[in-house]
Amino acid sequence: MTDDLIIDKVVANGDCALTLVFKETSSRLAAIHQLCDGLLKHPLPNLCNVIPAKSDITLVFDREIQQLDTLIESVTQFISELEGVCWHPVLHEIEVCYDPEVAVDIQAVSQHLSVSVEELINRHSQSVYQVSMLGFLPGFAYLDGNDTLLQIPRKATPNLHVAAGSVAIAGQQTGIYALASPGGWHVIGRTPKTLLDWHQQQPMLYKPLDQVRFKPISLAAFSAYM
Amino acid sequence: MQITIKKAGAFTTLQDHGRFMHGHLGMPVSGFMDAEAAHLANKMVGNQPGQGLIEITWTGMSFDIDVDCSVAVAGAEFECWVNNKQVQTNQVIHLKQGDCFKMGQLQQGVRGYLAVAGGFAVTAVAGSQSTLTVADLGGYQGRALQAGDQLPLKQPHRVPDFNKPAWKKIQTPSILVVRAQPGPEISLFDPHTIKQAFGQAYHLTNDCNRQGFRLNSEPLKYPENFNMQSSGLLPGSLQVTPDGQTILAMIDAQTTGGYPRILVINQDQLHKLAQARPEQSIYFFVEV
Repeated sequence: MTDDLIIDKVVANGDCALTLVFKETSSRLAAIHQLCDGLLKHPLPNLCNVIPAKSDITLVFDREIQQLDTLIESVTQFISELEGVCWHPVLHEIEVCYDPEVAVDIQAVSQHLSVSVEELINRHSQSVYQVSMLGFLPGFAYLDGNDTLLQIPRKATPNLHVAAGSVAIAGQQTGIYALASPGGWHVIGRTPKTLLDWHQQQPMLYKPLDQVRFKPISLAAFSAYM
Repeated sequence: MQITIKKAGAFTTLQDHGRFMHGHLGMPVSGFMDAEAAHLANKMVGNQPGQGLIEITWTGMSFDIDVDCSVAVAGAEFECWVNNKQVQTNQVIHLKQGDCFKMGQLQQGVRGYLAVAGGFAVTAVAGSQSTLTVADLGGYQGRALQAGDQLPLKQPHRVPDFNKPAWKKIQTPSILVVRAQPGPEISLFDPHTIKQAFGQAYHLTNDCNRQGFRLNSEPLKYPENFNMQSSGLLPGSLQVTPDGQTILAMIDAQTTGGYPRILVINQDQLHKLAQARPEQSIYFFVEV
């Protein structure tokens, strides 16, 4: 297990947090989520939050980090003692309406990438994506696996309001906004599906390392669903 | 045993110490914007420092109470009345059953904190009573308070007098200096831009809420060919957007972000920003 998590860099993230960046290995992502799981079950002293990402993990403490060396040593020790865990990824099919009526940026994206809207929809709905992390806000999923033709930088100025259920792209990733929020990704679709329900024991539809495929639906189907 | 809101004010929410160990699910920490002021209000009425209380933003609230109970106000200075008789906020206010408590004109600061002795009987979500309005979660029905809401009190009681030290009164200096650390992406910026970031004044814009403050300054030079992956974001991170302007993450901030962070303010300085006003010049100061 230790072979999958080799610390490449330790980056200070303010006075109370550290971001550990890991070298690229074949199962780095699964190992990061496993480390996160381990730290949540057996937290280091004063640890108050753990935020896993694609190639790094951020450890937040409830006070200023005083002895960095000792801390890094305990994290390294923790990593070396991690045990293997079996992941059971689930494939979720999520219905998405790509109509410009709800996919507010799809036309701009199609122009920017010189790809027709139809082609864009085809390419976006044919890929199988992996949930690399949850983050941003509750229910937001970062999905890896955008078609190489569909890679576009983030917006220069983020929007103040992105509708709940928006499916958006930036870089190599697709994101799903479970909640209405500000956002800097390009919205190319919207799902009518409820992605977040606090009354459920597992409030989120997906978990890290699950897979997602998008199924195009018409505006009529979308409206009927809502 | 409850208070009934008569006027809620522009943005009044229930908050406590915040929600921890849920960041991996994308859960912001939330909680008091000005923890120092909130702790003081709680202390004045004998509560635990992190106990749930009411955070009031820009405009005051009023309520009726149906039980004898002491309350205290800290943080932003509002004129306060009990049954139309003005009361001092530098001490505990003892309310009687049937009293009406009213906050009027805001005099200093932005966010006021009203603690009631014994706290509120509101169910915690993920270990916290804090309201996260963007997720309709926690607090009172997941939203800002409205006229007519009835907030149940947990253990209302009368407490001994407690005077607020005069030096704890909120001031609004024309310059606000906030201690900070170099951010995780500082190496992506050129030396001139880093010097600029730590040397120039920033001002609040109209887009400021618990999630983040959009600041206005001379634009910073955005790193070229930059495309980073999203990673863990702390409240107090100054994120530079491609237009050269900045967004300072606040307490309801998203847990991850993808804009480069040129600096992160020290966590014990966050409370200062909670009381910042648009006319103040904000400087970020790094000890090297």
